[in-house]
Amino acid sequence: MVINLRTSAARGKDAGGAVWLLLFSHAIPLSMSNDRNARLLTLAFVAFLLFTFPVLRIFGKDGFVFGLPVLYVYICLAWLAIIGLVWYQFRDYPPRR
Amino acid sequence: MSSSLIIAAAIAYIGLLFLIAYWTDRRSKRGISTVNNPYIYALSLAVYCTAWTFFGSVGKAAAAGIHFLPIYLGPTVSAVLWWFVLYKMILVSKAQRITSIADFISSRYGKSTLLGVIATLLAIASIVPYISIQLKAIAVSYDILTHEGVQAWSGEGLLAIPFYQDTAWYIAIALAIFAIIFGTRNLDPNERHEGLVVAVAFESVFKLIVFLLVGIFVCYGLFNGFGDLFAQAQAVPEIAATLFFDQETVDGWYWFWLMLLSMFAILLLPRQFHVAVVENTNPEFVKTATWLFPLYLFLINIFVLPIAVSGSLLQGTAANADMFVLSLPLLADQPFLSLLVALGGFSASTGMVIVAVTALAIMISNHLFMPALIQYAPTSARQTEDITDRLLGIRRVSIVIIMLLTYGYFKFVSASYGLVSIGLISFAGVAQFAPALLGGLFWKRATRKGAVWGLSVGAIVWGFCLPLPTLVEAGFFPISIIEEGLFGQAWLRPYTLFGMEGMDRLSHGAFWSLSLNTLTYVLVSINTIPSPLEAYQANVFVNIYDYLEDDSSHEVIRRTARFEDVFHVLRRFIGIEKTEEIVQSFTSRALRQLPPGTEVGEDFISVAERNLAGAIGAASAKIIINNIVQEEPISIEEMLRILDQTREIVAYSKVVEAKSQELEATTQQLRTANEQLQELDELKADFITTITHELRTPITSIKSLANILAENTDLPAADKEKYLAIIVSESARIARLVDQVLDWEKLQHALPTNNATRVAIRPLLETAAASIKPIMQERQIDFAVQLPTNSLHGHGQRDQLLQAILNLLSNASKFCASPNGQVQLAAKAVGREIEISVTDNGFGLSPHEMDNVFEKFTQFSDREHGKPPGTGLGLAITQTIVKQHGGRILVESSKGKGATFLIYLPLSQD
Repeated sequence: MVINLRTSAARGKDAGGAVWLLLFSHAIPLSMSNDRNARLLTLAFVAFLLFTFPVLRIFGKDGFVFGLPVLYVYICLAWLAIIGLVWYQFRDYPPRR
Repeated sequence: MSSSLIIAAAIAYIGLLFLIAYWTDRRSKRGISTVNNPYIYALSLAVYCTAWTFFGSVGKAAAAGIHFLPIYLGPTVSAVLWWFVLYKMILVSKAQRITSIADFISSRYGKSTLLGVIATLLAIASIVPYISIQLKAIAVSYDILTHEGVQAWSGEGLLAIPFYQDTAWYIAIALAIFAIIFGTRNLDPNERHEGLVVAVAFESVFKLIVFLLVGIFVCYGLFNGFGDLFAQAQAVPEIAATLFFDQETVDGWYWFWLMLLSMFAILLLPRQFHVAVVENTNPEFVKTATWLFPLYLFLINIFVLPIAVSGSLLQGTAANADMFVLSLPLLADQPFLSLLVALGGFSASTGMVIVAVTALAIMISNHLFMPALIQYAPTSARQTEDITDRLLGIRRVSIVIIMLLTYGYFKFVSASYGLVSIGLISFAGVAQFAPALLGGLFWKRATRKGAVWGLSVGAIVWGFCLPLPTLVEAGFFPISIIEEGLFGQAWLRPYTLFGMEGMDRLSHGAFWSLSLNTLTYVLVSINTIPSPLEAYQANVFVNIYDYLEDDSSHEVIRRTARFEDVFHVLRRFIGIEKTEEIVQSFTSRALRQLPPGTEVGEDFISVAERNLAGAIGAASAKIIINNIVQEEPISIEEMLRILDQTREIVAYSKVVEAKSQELEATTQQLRTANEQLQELDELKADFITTITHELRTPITSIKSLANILAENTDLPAADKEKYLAIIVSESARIARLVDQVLDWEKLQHALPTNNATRVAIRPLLETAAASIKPIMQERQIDFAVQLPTNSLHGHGQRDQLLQAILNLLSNASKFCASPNGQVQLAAKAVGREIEISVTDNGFGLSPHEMDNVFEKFTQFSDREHGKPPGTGLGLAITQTIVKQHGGRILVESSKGKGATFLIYLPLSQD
């Protein structure tokens, strides 16, 4: 994705962008999608951790919140949080007309 | 409930699916694509949720609490990575026209026929048990509905029933027919089945709604909401134990392996690969599926635990928990809801079976039948018989064979197992694809031999540890294999392979098969060398992003073939219509206009091969195309060199381009400098000529006059004096000339601010005018002076400024008209500058002359006026002086109308 950005800028579709890239690419992330990739990788790792058995055992003890088993509530919330965060990364898609 | 009602409902439901598929195909024929929609795509992925989900999850939850969940949490975790993995798989598959997971693996490793065969056999062995549990789910739910009973339904009595009285037999036949109708109606070169995908998406919505309805009914119809349900469950210790996750109730490693296997299964199950990759119309849809599909999983699981708990509470923990979803509404006397549930389960099963069987049929026909057909019935390119009908026939036969296998497995094996435990055997089986597929996507060094060995070892270990014991228990093999080990070897026992004990059967089998598979794959890969085609394919798969923009620059294989040969092959395998489409998209010329024997090159052959691969798989397409092409042999070293170099060359050529531009610029500068030097050289030569000429004239006259004086001692005194005066003046002229040259040289090295003082302009100009006046008078020039009345001051060296002005005045006196010459000297303050102007009425300057007038050694001559007097240094000296005083000098003139030289000097501030 980064490459596309560079080439489209280099082809002169976006001359200002090209200058911007050349001047500041060392200082700030090249593009949003590059950032997104790092976030997604981190999120996958966190998601895997959240559902490993040692972590689940923390919540798997005998206990209830709002009349529901703590484990059930934890899994539902963690699950929804992951879905929400992934959605947030792709919230611009599909583009609205 | 009467069986006719149930069958009628099922037929009506299937009819609805056909209508949807028919409507979709009608639309796509008119050019409207229904599947070109990210939401349809995400929903079609939910074919993952089968009868296992619909019935089996509740059964598992009733027995072992949240152990049913890893199957859905795993895909949720791996879906986060789809943007990296699935997206790339889709790009590769579009570029290579991949038709199945076996085709994907075969293509990656040099379009290997052997790998296609291994992968297909493994897929069949893995998926047949999986389909058999769908058969079981439908059959059991039908029997429960018709008998209106919930008595335990066991497999023991099943073997006694002849197959023609068995519900499952007729269900198998019906499913085979659906699959044939949905999956093999036509042979699409891209293996796209839009109708099938939309029907599957519809089924996904339907089963979700039904499951949510049952959940709401159980929680709020049979109990007073979640709180009430869980409060009652807490009171029964047996049930309460399933709600928690502790050392005793949950085996941590079992949980881990379930997560891992399902992370793989979501993309590696043949049907998942089919809907996610082969049927995908736009890779960007992954962006939606990556969150929408986990959301679907979340919704369909939210009521599993409540339903399981309420089933255990109402029917006891010993009941057939797999059927709670159906038996709960039935017991509560909700016939309509029960029928909906049966249809929901039916839809979950049929969707899975149709897609899975279609995907398997594609693999069997492309990777088992096709290579055999080509191998043993060599088809010459000359044969014109159309083979597309035969291909469809092969697929239909494949479907029937798969359903027969499925029924057999169901009848003898899966009847005595739970839905989930059979399903997990399948998961572990398809997980064997993971090293070869993921490694092939990201690791360029992986070789065909590595994949063959890894996949074979994984498949054998998996088969030995997981499905084999189920066959042993069904009586196909002696029980001694389990108890004493294969061939009586104790270390070859399927549940404790190599003596590894203390693990459950699934974790044990998954651990050994996956680790040995991966290890073999890596070890063999790094110790073997890929063939040229393998290396090329590896590069396409791993670096697919480089190939997206322009693939022609990456072509390294050069092949030629006769056009008719390619044309006949295409016509045989994909039909005349599609062939003509391809040819016409490629060449604007009509087919008949191509002269016989026309040679076609790599570009056309690769298009033909890709289209052929879309119909019969890459390996078979390769064999067929190889029969008709001439290929320039290419060595592996050369191939690797080319592949490694392509990108380096691109990078390098960019550097070279930049360098050569730089060089060009430098060359240009040098050329300009050289021209200037040459010009200067010419000027210098001219100057020397001028100077010597100027010097020679007075020297000649001095010499001749001195000769006269020397030879004629008796000359009259008046003549003598006259001659001597001329000699003196001529000598002065020489001295002047030499002084001017020395002045010029001095100016070049002088520091501008040396001895700088305040200079009053008016006295300066008066001095200049007084000095030049005699010459003006001598030449009868009308000399006018207009000096400023107020006192103006400049800054600098008075003598130099005086010289500059005198030079201008002297020039004016030389170049003004003759006779009636006019010269004017004027000065005034302009802004913060002093303007000193010298105007003459001579023949003026042309624009070209104005450009060069201040260049040193410049003298203008023309035919009319001859060579002008002077050294060519005066104006150059003047300009240098003015510049060194921080001022500027301009000339205003037009040819024939005189010239005005203007000096601007900064005013001195007091």
